[in-house]
Amino acid sequence: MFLIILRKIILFLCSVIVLLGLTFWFHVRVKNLGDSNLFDELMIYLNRICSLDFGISSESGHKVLNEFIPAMIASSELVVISIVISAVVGLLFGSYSALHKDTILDSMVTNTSIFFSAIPVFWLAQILISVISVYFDIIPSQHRISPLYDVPNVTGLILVDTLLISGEDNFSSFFNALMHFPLPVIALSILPVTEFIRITRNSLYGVMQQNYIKIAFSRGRSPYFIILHHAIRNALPKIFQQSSSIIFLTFTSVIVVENAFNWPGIGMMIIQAIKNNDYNIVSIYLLFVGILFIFLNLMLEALAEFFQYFKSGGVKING
Amino acid sequence: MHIIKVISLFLIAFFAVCLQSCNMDNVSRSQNGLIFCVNSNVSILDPQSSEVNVTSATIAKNVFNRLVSYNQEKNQFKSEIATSWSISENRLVYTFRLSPKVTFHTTPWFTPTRSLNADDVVFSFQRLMNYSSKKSQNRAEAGEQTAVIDSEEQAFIDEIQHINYKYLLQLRKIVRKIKKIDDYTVSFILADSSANFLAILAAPNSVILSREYFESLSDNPRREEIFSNSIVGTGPYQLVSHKYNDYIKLKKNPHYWQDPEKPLLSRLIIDITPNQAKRMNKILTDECQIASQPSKTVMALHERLQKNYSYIESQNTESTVFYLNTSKAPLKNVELRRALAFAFNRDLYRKIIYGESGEPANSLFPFAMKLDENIDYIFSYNVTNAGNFIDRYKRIHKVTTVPTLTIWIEQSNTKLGYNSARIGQVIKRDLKKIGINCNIIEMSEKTIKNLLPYQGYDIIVSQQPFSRLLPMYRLYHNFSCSSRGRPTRTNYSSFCDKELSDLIGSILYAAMDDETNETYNRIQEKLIQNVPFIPIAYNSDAFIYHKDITNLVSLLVNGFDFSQTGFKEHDPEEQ
Repeated sequence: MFLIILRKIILFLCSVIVLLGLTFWFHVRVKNLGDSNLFDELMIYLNRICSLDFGISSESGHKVLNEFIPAMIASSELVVISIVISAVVGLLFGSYSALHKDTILDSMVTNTSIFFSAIPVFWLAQILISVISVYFDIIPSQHRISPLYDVPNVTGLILVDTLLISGEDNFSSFFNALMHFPLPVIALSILPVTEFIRITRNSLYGVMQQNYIKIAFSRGRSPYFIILHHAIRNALPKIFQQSSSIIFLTFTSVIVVENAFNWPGIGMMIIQAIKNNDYNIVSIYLLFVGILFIFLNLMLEALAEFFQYFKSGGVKING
Repeated sequence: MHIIKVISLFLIAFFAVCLQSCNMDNVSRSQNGLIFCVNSNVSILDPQSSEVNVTSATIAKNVFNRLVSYNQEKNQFKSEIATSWSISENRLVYTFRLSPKVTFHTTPWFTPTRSLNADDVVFSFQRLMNYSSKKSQNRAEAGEQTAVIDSEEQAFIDEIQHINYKYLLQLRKIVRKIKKIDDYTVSFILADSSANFLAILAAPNSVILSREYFESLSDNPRREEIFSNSIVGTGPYQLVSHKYNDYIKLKKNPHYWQDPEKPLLSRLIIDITPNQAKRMNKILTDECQIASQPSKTVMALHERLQKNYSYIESQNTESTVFYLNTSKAPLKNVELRRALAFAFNRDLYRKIIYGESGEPANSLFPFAMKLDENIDYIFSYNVTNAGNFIDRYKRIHKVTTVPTLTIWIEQSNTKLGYNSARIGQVIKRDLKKIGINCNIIEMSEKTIKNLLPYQGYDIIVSQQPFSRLLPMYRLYHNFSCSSRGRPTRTNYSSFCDKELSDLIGSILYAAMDDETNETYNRIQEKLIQNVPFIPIAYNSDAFIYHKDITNLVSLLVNGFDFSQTGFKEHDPEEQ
């Protein structure tokens, strides 16, 4: 147990060192070294990182951290909502599919999910905008909220901040912000839904073949109770483990989706920075997103191992 | 199952309430605001030092005031901050009396303690000119209240409305001294008696800034940046917030000194969207009520655009030009330059660069009036001629091939519909037809200017604004000897011909009339002889706006004056 945690921590630290090295290389590439040598530069750079000074964006002149954090919060709002929705929908359809495996309904669900997983995100985003927003004129597609509303920047999450406005504008701005969510969330969550369906289907099917499920059935418990209490709970660790790749997938599709919908998050920020050769923003993106990915991956693996560990009563299984 | 039913019922009820209460079509009416979608970004909000485009012109017109303003319909100057002015007999001294009730904006970052006075005027212009004063005589005499413009000034006024801060630096040449006489009187002492000084003051960029605000930032290390970005002016709208490359939010100035009832709009948002398709989408979903540079194909496709939106063209013209490097071989040779001028099919280039709009540049000054129109542009598309010239070049210089040309293409998605990738392919194909190979490199305007002194190029493809009525400014910056090697780096052709420079300099500030006509013809002849550039096509800027918007005043240069703008009231019966 302790060894597992130690391995993960060492892995995490190694990756952080590699990422820091990469961003330092970026930094040194564009800077005129002059008289100082590389080692002194490295010490100065590490000092700056420790005091959370990531430099100034060359395009807008503001501090990079002050631009990055609101963008990160805006993106994470979108990503979290879409992952939650896609997890719920994927679990529902996946369990349905697993329980009726090898029937027509199951093959319908899996074939539809394969079809949807083949759709590229950028095309889907544009089609959603053109059809739903422009042709049918139902909901808007650009920005997080109509720019005519003034939203105080308290938390950075638009759904919370619009509720904090005092006055008559309160509900209309909240609904306006809410109306800007469906299209990016749909564009972003189609692919994770298909992944969740596939994972849940495999995991749940494997669990349903276990002996304890058959015993519970033979004891006469209701099927719903068995599925909800025994089957899904035991299927979850495996789903957790594989969901880290889904989260990464979402974070990379968020770049395309944000650019299509003009959502002010890290996706837009990184594309602008690449166009403008803004190395400071690129390196902070690399650092933070890289650390986030590795951290999430290790956390989810550790969670799965914890479940396994406590389920088996504290006995080490397979080291 | 039971709980699932409850949850789904709740969600349905929630969304039903949502759809009821948020009627997306009327956001702009309910908030009494307007969204103006532009394609050009500004890096600094301060009009004295920002770029020349729609955004900066709109900000300059709506957030600030000038001393005088120009009324296009009545064709005269009217007072803005200056209630009256007098011009001395020798036309060298202009004295302005200022209105005592002009107030600055009250914003979260600055609260003014006094109204505008002569200190602010002197500060604003000194900031532009930044030179030390000399002692001089000052003679003020009583003059007329308003000056009616004669035709001699008319052309210059139109040209001045295109002015940008670089040209305002010419103020240094025209104005000798600015003097504060008392708290509400300022006088300008000029170096030469040009009749066009009022026009310079009426330009959108000659704004009056707050000296008190500048001094209140005196101990702040980021003073210039804050002063230029968190702007404080006297105009009908004030700044709320500014997100770089995203939007600029303005709101109504509740204590507007000129007219407390105006402006009618409580919010004005300038939304920066460089992509034309996205701008059109925003118009179609009513997320924008005014947009710059619309796409004609989209407008033809959607009937509701034709029904509800009006289309206007502005006077701003941009022209795509190939600049040939005349100081480096092989294009040092005039024969080769003439050969190249025959090699390009302008109509095709116009289609590639500007789509359905725009016109091919079939003469040297496509939009100059009063020129001798008999001079046919001799460089029409003629591949055989080009081939012949090249053969002659090869025979004379005893070479078998022309060396490979390096071509830099300016890459920009903020310019009028410019498609730099396609241009490269077509140029390569056209040059191959006459047997010349080339290297195409795309780079941004900044990079071109940085690398210009190293002379590593043969042709630069660039898009430049060409003034409709006075092309002399552009010619001065591009082809005169004095602009070579200057920090502004505008002489892309590295072209220096003493006689041509003198000709351009002699009519640089003059108005269009018969005397200058003769000089224009000679300049045109010289340019045709030497071919330092090949004009390809040009295009005008355009806007569409919703028909419900009333009193939208368009400026001669890009942008709009929103001080009178409001919405038309709809009858409840009509749709």
